[in-house]
Amino acid sequence: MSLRTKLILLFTITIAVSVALVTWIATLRIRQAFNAADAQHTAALITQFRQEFARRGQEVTSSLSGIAEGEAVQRIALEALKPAPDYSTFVDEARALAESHQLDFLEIVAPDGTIISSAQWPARFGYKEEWLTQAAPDWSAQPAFLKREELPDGPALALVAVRPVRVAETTLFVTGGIRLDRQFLKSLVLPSGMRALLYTNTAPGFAALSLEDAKGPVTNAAKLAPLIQKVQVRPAEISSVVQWDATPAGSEAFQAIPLQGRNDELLGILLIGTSRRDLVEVQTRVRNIAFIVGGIGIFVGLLLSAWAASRVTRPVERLAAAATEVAAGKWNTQVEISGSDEIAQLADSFNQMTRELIEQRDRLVQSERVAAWRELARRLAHELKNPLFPLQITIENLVRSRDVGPEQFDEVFRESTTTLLAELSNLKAIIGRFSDFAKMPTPQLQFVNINEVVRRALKTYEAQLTGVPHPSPSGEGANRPAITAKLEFHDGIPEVLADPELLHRAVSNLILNAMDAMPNGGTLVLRTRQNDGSVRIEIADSGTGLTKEECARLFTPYYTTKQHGTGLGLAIVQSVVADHHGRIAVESEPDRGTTFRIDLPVRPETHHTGDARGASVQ
Amino acid sequence: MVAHAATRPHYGGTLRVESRAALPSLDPSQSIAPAEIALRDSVLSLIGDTLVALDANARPIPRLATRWQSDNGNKRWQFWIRPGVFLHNDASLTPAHVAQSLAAINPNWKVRANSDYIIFESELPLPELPVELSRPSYTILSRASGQLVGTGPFRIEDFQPARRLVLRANDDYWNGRPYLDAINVTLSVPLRDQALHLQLGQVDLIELAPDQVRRTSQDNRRVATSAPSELIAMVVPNGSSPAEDPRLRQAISLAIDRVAINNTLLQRQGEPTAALLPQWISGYAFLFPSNRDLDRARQLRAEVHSAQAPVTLAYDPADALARTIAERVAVNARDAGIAIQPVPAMTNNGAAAKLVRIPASSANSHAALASIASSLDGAELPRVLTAGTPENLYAAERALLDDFRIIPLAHVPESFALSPRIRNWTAPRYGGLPLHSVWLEAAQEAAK
Repeated sequence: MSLRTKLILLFTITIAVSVALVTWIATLRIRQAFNAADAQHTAALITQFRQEFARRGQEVTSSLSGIAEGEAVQRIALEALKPAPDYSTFVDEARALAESHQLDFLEIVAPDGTIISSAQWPARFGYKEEWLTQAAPDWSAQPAFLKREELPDGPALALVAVRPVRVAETTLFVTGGIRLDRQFLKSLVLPSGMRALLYTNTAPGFAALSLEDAKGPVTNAAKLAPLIQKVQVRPAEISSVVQWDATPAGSEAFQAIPLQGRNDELLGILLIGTSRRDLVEVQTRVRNIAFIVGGIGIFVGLLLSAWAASRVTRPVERLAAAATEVAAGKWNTQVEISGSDEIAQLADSFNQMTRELIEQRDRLVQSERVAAWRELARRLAHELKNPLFPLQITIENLVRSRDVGPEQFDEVFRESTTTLLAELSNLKAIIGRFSDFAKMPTPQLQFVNINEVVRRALKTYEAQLTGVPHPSPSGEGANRPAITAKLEFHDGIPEVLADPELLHRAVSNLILNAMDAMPNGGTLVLRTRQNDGSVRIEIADSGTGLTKEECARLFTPYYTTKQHGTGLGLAIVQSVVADHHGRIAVESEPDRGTTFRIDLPVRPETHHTGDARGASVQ
Repeated sequence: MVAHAATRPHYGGTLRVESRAALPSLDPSQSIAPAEIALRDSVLSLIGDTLVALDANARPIPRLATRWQSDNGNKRWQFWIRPGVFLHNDASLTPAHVAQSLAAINPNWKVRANSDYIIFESELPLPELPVELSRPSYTILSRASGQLVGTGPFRIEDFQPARRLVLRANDDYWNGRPYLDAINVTLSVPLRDQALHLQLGQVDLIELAPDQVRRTSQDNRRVATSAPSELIAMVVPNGSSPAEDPRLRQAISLAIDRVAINNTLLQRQGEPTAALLPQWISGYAFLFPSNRDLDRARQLRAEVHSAQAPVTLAYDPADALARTIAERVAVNARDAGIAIQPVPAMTNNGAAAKLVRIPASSANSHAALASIASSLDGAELPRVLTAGTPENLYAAERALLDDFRIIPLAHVPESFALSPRIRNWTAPRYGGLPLHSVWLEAAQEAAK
């Protein structure tokens, strides 16, 4: 994925996440604000309900007090004083009194609890209201309370009070009140979006017909059954959200408040419903706006990010391309500079770097060239000085011998001419080696068994490895300690496409170097093995080893660690290996020997390694 | 009973009467609601005459028939028609008129007219036929030209069902002209309005419900009350699925606290009863126990295993007392685990039961029972007319009550409130409006 794509993606994601975050926070805040407002409204409504409840209770109490002190009830009380009171003429009193005092319920009850007259259920005269006499508190001090009132068409929820009527030794009771129903709910002032429902808890379990709001029975009341049943199990304020339909706006939050009677029995449940429609609509509006803003933002962001990314990435891309060219060897690559920002500074630095690289390379080449020429001059001077000095001495002896006798002169002459010829021959050899290095032949490739090449090269030096005194290959010294050669060949090694003579020459040079590195004898290990697509040749000695600095310069032409070396041996080896698209590496530590490793591809054209030609040092 | 012996009877004046009855028809051949029967019977007694009347001891005495005799084991009867009686259309009453009138009321009878008498023939013996013919429903009426024309002390001047009835005195009445010139009856007036109108002096005679009697008396109003003769009962027609099980109906009957209904709702004006005829007529009403037996009621209810749907009990929505009684029945039945739902519907549309008020219409037990039976839909008295002994009457009544399709609750009197100017109120013990003998005090006298 390109940097530009990444940047565009980053910008887009950032904008989208920002819009989503803002939307989420806004939605959250709105919900919190609505919830807080709903909670306030609900609390206000509950307070209003309780105030209305208390106010109605006071009205009921006041009405009952008036009835109790009225003439009609006093007449009944007087009748009660008789030994055999006849209440039959008063059977309709309660109805008339209830109408005049605007009460839904009114009963006049005899001292023994017998109903004398009932407004809400006239036919119940003669029945007993045992709750009035069984638990007899000071009714005159009791405020209004909730009560389940039995009616011909079923029980109802009532706000009632009791007022005793004392005449002499007897006490009549006047009990009555108002019905808590939709009319009561209608009297509540409800904020928009809120409603109050009343559930009359007439029987265990949920009864849909017992639930009504100010307009009447609630449709689809069964949805509220779980909430009501919870309150029935544990009378406490409980909140719940009811989903009336599949739309998000079709939900309504309900707060259930238990309405309990004098003995804490659950008589009813007030449900304050708050429609979530407004909240959902605002949330939907915010979300839609967020989608629009987000969409526009993402679109604009894409444009801006594309533009910004192009401004940022184009120079970077140019830099990357330039760096790739530099890596490919095109050191004179320059990057166009526009502006003065960090990217421009980076481009300028890049251009500066490439310029300095070229300059340093030129200087290095120049210095290496000078150093090579110096080394070449030193080597030439050294190589040529050795035969020139005997030549000079021999010629001077020959000049001086003209003054001695002819016999001596002839002898000197013979010896001198022999020496001269030998030194001249030596000079020719030196020149020939330089000439050979300058004229490395082109490899004549053929399938070659590496093991055979190594074995043949070793065979060349077999005599010097036996330990018998013999002159060194370089002509120095007469005897040298024995060197033990060990061959560790891989039998199944594949044939490689190579020039056997050039390989023989390279391996011979390395064996010779190894022998030179073991003046006191040692072990020479020749090893071949197969790697993935290549073969390896290892020539290891147990000689004096090399320092890191020596290793670093080992393949430099004309560099040698030997007293009389030309410094061309390893250069030739490297040249041969490079011509076969292989690699050569050296691993050495002082006093622990040196190991050369040559890796040759089985098929040279498939393993082009460039000029690296690979020499590496470990 | 009101009597002003020191005052000389006064002719003239119009009596103003109000009734809650709608009185859809005056023709006794047409069926009307039981609550309408009392007023219709009273009106029939004003516009016409029966062949036979009953004396103070409920024995038959001549009326339009001067004499009668039976033979062939009471299967053949002859009634001699009174001569010199004229219909309101000035036509002379003939046996043919009488035969047509009776045949129209009871098509099952074979009635033939002769020169001056009529002949009844029946396959079954009719020992109580004279008593039967004393019932107001057998008032002799001519239906010539689509109008009812009788021989009574008053003739119909204007009749608008559910609105008004105007009767004018028949100057040529064979038994002497009535004192009143006219009677104006305003129909379909609620009891409360009637009481108000009486207080305002806009009416002379109004009906009183039993629960109004005591209060009206306490208000020093004139109240005329008959003996308890009107039956208040709960009737369960055939095919009433929620109450089809007789054990359930019996349980309802046993659960009802009739004493409380009488003492409180009827203000002790009536008599709690489980019989059709009041004790003062039949003499055996005590044989029908009316006490409440809630345990037995619950036991019977438990025996009815099926889940019981509420038994709807229809009552006259214009009758507040009927509503309260129906509700009381429901409250009592609830104690036995029976659900009864009072519904305000007089037409009994779909209701499982109905609350009815049936006047006795006669002091004679045979005639009264026949009258009550004829007022009940589907009730039949197969043996009543064939054997008029007390034992047979009791058996017939027992047969009517055995399956508890009729659940008597109370007998209540007919009660009226009268203005001070009404004089000579001589109502029979079983009730009715004795307006043929009433006269009105002159305005000056009334003012005193």
